[in-house]
Amino acid sequence: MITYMIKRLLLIIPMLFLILLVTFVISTFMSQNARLNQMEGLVEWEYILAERERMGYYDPWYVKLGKYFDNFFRGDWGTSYIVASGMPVTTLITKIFPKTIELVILPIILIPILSVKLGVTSAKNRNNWKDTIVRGIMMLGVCIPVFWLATLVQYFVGTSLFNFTYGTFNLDITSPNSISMRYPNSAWPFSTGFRLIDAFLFNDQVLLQDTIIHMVLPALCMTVIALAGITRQTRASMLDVMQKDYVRTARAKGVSETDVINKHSLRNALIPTSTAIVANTAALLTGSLFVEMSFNYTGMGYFMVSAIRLGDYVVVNGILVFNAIIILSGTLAADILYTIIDPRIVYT
Amino acid sequence: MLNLFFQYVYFANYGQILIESIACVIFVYFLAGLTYKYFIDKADEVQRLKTALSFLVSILIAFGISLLIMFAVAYIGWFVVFFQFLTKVYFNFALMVTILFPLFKMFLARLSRNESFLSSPEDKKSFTRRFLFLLLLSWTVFLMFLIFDLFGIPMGELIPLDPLNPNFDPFLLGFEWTFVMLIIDIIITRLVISIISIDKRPPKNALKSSTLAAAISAFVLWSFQLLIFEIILSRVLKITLFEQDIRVLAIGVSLIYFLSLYGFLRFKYLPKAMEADKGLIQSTDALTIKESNVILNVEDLRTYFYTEEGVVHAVEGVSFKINEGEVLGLVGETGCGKSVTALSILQLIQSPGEILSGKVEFKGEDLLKVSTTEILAYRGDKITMIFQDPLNSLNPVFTVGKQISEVYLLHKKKELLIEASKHKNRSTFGVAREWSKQLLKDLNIPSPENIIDRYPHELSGGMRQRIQIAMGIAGSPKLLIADEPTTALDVTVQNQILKLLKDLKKKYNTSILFITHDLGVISKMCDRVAVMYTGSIVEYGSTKQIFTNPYHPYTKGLLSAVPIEGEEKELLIIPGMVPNLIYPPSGCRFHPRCPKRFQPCDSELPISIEVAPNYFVNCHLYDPKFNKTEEVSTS
Amino acid sequence: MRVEQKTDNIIIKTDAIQKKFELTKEAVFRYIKFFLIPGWRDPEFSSKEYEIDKIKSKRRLFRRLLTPLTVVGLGLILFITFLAVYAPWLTPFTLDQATDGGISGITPFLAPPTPGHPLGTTKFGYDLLARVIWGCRTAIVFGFITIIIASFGGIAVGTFSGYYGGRIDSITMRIIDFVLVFPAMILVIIIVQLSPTRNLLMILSIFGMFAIPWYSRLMRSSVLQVKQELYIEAAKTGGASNFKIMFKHVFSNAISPVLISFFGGVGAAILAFSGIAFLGFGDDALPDWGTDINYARARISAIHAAIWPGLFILIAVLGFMLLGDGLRDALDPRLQKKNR
Repeated sequence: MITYMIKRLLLIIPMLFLILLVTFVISTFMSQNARLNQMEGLVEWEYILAERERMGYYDPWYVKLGKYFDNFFRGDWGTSYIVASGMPVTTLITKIFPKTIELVILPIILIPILSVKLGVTSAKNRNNWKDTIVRGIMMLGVCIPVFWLATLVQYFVGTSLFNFTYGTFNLDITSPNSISMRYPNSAWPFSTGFRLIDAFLFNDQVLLQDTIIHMVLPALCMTVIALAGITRQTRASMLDVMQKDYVRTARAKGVSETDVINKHSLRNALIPTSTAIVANTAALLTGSLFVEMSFNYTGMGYFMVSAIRLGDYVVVNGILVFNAIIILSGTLAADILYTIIDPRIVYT
Repeated sequence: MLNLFFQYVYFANYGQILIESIACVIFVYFLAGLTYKYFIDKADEVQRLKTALSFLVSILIAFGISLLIMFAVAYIGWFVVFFQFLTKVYFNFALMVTILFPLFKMFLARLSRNESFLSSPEDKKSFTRRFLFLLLLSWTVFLMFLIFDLFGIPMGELIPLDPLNPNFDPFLLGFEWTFVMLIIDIIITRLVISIISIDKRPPKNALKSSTLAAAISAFVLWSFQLLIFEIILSRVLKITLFEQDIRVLAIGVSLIYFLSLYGFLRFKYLPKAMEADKGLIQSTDALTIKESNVILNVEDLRTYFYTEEGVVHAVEGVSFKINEGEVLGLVGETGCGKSVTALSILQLIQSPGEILSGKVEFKGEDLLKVSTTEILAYRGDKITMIFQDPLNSLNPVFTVGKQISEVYLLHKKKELLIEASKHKNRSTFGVAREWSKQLLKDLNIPSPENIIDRYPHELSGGMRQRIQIAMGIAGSPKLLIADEPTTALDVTVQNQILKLLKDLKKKYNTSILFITHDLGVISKMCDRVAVMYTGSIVEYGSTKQIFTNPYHPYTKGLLSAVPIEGEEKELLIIPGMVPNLIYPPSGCRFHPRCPKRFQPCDSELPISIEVAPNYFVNCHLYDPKFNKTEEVSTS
Repeated sequence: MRVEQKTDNIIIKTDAIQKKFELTKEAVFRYIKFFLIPGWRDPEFSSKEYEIDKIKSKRRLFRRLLTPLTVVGLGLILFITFLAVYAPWLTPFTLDQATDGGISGITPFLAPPTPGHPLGTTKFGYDLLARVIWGCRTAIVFGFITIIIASFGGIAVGTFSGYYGGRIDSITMRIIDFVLVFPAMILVIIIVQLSPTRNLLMILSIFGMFAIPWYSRLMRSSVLQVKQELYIEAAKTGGASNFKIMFKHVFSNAISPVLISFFGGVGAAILAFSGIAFLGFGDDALPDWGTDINYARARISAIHAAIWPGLFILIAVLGFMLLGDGLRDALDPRLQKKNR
């Protein structure tokens, strides 16, 4: 098992190389020496040429590539120049990634519980009215566009019925009376980046409640979308398992019907589902673009889209590589989980 | 005048009341659900469904009525100031619970009129007690907030109405944090319990009740603290001792919760569980079965499958008897309904199949009339079944030992408890494991200590079949149904398994219903044989007689197709194919292929005729009604 | 005597096979009844025993296909296609007037529904109903083109890779895994942003290329399964060339998973394309539903302009997904119930 894990980890490195290669190609299209172009007209032309020489603009492509790789592995991922001017990309990621993680916490908790319950109900009463309702909900969950659902939710729950707040809440450019302005977090000695944990540790109940209120709606939208796929998987594997012979043996042993389902079948049916959940988490983390854009929630997806729109290639590269790392580790974790849960597999 | 009436309608915030009512309904569903779910575990499938349905209906009615009342109160609140205080969500909640309780009780009373659910007075008292507690809680909360409003104690909000000027209240927030903290604590307990090995875990019911009690006590205690320090001291008496700290809250609530969990487990619910166990030990056996010589008596069993293509007549009027200590063999081609007969005995037929008519008497008790919960006591304990393919019939994610212990834990609870109480720190699981090991030793399985922790896919085919047989005889059944147990094994292992079955039959005096299509196995194992063809029995008698002197043309055809060593003879075939079970031939099912068919064979169903003592044939040839033209020939 | 009886049987059977099917109205009705009514048995068919088995499997397939949900999906797709095809006749506004016509100044922005504009207007004054109906065209065309590119590429790659096996196979799988690591949406957005002109065909083909790995995986796994069947070996010993085996035998048998996920893919493509348009990277000259939602979502008082396009996205994707699911339920051999 350990050798298998080491082998898989070693395989990640060439993948990373290739990913970096791709991002390098992208960045050569996007860069055009943007920062220096910004300064054009303000400084003398010789200064710009000298800066270009220093930055390595005139080096041959393999030197550029080598320097690029070198920088990445050393931890210097560049400095953003438009989206968050002056901030190194790594710092930016440590600031925005925790917010995306917070968004994903509620789905991770809710999805296993709900999908198991729905999938079991649907598989137990096949072609019953309960099955049709669950399948209808699942179908809608797969087909509904997230951004549309977000708009609807914002409108119906956020404003017209309840005045439940829904908007942005951390950019400093909001009104001076907003939470972030009244409770500036510069007073904290350290910060983990996770707003929930920070507010808890420093007894800032107002900030905590505010965060929760703003986080609930986007997290619910994401749950709805992700739940549909996982419930389908649970239902399919439950149907598969309930046809098997060992379920018949369990019944012949005198096990009650609920125990047949909850103890004997579920344990087998959840094997592919749990790997699907783990893999889905990685997808949620990287694919939260639409939800974040709809709710103006400044997580990683929001910054990614803004960076692409504004042309900040450094941030784009950094977030792209980070996303790829997340997805790779997600698939690796799913595979390892599979080998742990299923006793029939020694190592793949 | 009417205009004036409608003018005031717009001033109340009906949307907010609606959303609050929906939130209340969800909350009431969970809380009230906790109260009645305790009783559901003992109930039947149908009763469970009915209870759930009545609960749903009563909640919906309560929702509707309370919504109307709230709308009315909101409207009147514009004229009478006092009613404005009643438009809060706490009133909504209390109202809903109050309306729900008598409705639900009425529905349940109607349900339990002719069934045994919730009829014991102790159950009723416990149910009423829980609901009254919930009622008391909700009205106390409402009165508390009413008093706050009447006395003008300043209260902020939990969810801000104006996002730019929120006015959060530490008192209300404290409730929210307590609630979240308790949920986290319950999840932690569940995780910790699932990590502890199965021996040392407390029993499920005790754990459930004590988590609930501990959560409620922690919640009540902490809200009491909130009340005193936040409201009375801070706001009424204006003495601010300290600020409500969320970290203190987290630690405090968790501490109270875990302490009270331990207290409730140790001092209330575990002793209760022990009392229940003792009661079980001293109880007498509920099922009193008459001692008789005939173990199984199947009469005219009919099982049909209603598929898309049509009705499959799988078993059409099968009758046989099994005596004590006897082995009956059921022979037939593939697809003639042998397995379906066996599954029908144990009521294991699932839709689209249905057992239409017939009688299956096990020691005098008709199994087809027994309810779905009562038959669980028979399966695995008095009648067991082993199947054909042991790899697919064993659950791949449980160890072999667990699967055998499960039979003991399901059916031999009393004996396990007696054995466990003799030693100090042994649980029923440990005892069951010991017994499984002993059983494996009895079956001559080498090194049972290793085998017991293996998974089924790690063992060989013969070993798996032996494990299945172990599962089959763990409950010392009176009848063992073996559905082609040796078909998937090679010949040497086959002999071992057959010998094993014979030894077990002698040792435990079990009768066996042996289903197979191999005539050689029949001749080795069985005392009596029933030959099946297309869903009905064509010949039924003792093995020796059938093999030496078959009467029915089908049996004759079967036996003449078996090569005999040393003899040179022509192997005759039975021409044609097995008929389609959806459209079986009219009259005798065998008549299209029968060499001896004559006039009545394609119109009348043959009846069972006793041609020799305890030997039955279903053929028109031996029917005295039609015996005029044909003579009995045995060739 | 027995031998002659046997040949008589054979002769009768071949006669039954060779009797042709006459296209009379009565015969057609009988066939329809045979397909639709469960358990109905035609007296004339009873004699053709073996032909019935062939037809039976088709009947089961057909009846399994026509579950209520699938019919609903089919209906939704037909509705959208109808709107797409007959768009010029269904709305008084032409394509130009709905997108670039710039009737600004005359019609109000984000107006509530009026008789002239049954659903109201968008931010720039275009009629919403017209944009929704013309949007059907974009959606269907984009969805189909993307998935056609993806499935052709996927089928080709999958067949080659699965059939030849060995090193070609492992190299191809590595490349496919690598492409799958990237979040396709983000890369498409980047490439769209980078290109100087927002050429629609280019966007679609890049989208299609990113969807190829899914189809090639599907195709490859089913090709691997089919490759082990005996008739492939028989064809090889018969002397068929590699290409012929690949495209005649393997292809037709292994293609069903790809066909099944074709429609699901179209639904997903429509959804993804609206998403990209919502983020602002679509083509402004086209009446796409996603761009409508993007324009309208800021103004809460005129939320209707965001609700209708989204509803149509939901309808279109729902139709395709239902059809894809219905196909999968009908054709997937694993889900067949065991007949006793």
